Amino acid sequence: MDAITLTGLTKTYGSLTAVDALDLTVPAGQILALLGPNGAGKSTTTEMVLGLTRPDAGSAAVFGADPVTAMRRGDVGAMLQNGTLLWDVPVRRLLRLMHGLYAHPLPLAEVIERADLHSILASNTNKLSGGEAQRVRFALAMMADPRLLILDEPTVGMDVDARRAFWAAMATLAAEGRTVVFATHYLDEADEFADRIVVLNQGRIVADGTGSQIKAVVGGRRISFAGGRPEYTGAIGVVAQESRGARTVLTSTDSDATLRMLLADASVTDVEVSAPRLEDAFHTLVS
Amino acid sequence: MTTLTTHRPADITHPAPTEPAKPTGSTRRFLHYTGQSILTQVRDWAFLGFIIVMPTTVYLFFSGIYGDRTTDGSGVDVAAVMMVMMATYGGLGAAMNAGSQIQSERSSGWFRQLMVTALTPAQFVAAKVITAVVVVIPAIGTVFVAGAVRGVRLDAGIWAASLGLIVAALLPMVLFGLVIALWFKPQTATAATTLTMMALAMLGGLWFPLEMMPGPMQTLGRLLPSYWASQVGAWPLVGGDFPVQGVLVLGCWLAVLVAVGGLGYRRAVRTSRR
Repeated sequence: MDAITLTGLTKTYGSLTAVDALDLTVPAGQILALLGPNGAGKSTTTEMVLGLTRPDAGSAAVFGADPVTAMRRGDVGAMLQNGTLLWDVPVRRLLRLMHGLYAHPLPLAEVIERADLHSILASNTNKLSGGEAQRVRFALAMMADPRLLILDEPTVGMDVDARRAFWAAMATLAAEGRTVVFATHYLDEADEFADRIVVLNQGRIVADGTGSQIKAVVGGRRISFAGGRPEYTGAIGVVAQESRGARTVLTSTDSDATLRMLLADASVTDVEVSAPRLEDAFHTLVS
Repeated sequence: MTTLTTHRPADITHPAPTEPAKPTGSTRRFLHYTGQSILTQVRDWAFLGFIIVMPTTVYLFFSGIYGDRTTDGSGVDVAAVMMVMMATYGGLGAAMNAGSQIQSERSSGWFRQLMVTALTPAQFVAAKVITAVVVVIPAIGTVFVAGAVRGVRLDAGIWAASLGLIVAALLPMVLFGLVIALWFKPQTATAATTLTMMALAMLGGLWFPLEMMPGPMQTLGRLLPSYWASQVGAWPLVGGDFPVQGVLVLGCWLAVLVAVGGLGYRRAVRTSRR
């Protein structure tokens, strides 16, 4: 059964169309990254999958049920964007409060272990660092023992170590067969962790594939060098040009031809060729 | 960790349960959440100070001034009647608090986190209402204890009847708090709640007896639920006819507040992202 089925999903806020007739199917067990700039519709989409926001048109189904039903029966766990915690209570009490609210929760001791909360159980929620608060939110997301995890920008506020630990814990959850859908700005994470990447812009899907497929859509190479001409518009293979200090960076769809052309110019020196990172692919896609 | 990583949730490997969670589970979650809300509320020292220390202090102060006299003829201590008035005032603060509780949890975003559990919005509201009603009891009880310390002597049945009647008569006030929370912006709702509470207390004769006020203000006071809450609550002490008029006034307030609250709830559901 598919974990998520979105059919013509649409949400408008005033004159702004946040999500525009989105069609998307996420098979059970998949790890999917939703990528997009701010305002691309990632959060609105996840909110509709969670039943927090009602679509204006179209529908969202979670394991074949309506999102609210799926939530009530414990199919879904979520980390909300900028999700707040109940103010001014010890973490232990917060966990105990939430633990009673799920249909079939994981044992509390296991949640504490997996989210690494032992050291902060006695801490007050208004004294947590950003990373600690995210760990608590992660604990709340897995507490339901969900088949589907929805994470809206889960690693915001985490340092490098915390981020690594977070994805390791998430990999364990995913390895148990859970479906994971996460929205992120950290494109390296998407490339590294997701089976599939869906790129959103202005509420529409602009690309859908694996990390390498997304790169192939752009299909170019980046050629960086010193010297040369100030202007390469229209040169063979070149689709973009930018200056970085004394260096020029060209994006080329035919790097071999572009390189031959460049190297014929004796003033071009110190040439570097690289495959674009997902980040660059992403910028090309949404611009 | 090895034992943890081998964990597989039953419903991943087996077909999904197609029926929604059993009602018993839903009731258990509701009771759990209600219990936790009450616990959180009674551990909030600032709030307890507001609803318990203040009315008790004001009661002790006023009863110290007037307390030695008795009301004409009936033989009932002024201190006892004043105790009921102040207890109603304390209960009023606790009762009206449910709304701002709901609103602060909504505006902080915590409500959204609750909505990604199996708890329903209706259960959330009901739990907050029950919490408010439960917290009314210590607010009233503390003033009663202060009254007993001051020398108010009543039968156990009269204490209990007065407490029960005040709690029941304050039900419209719980709704009043909800209505304010639904119709005001978060930044102004707390102030609006406090102001309304003060106005209801003062004009409803909870601080000074209505009989001490000029005629028009007495007329106004007799239209307020706060006045009748204290009158209904004082009835076991002062005796006489049961204030039926008060029950009617309270019923009218209840009906109007339910209507306005219903409209506000529909509007909130329509305009918010929960």
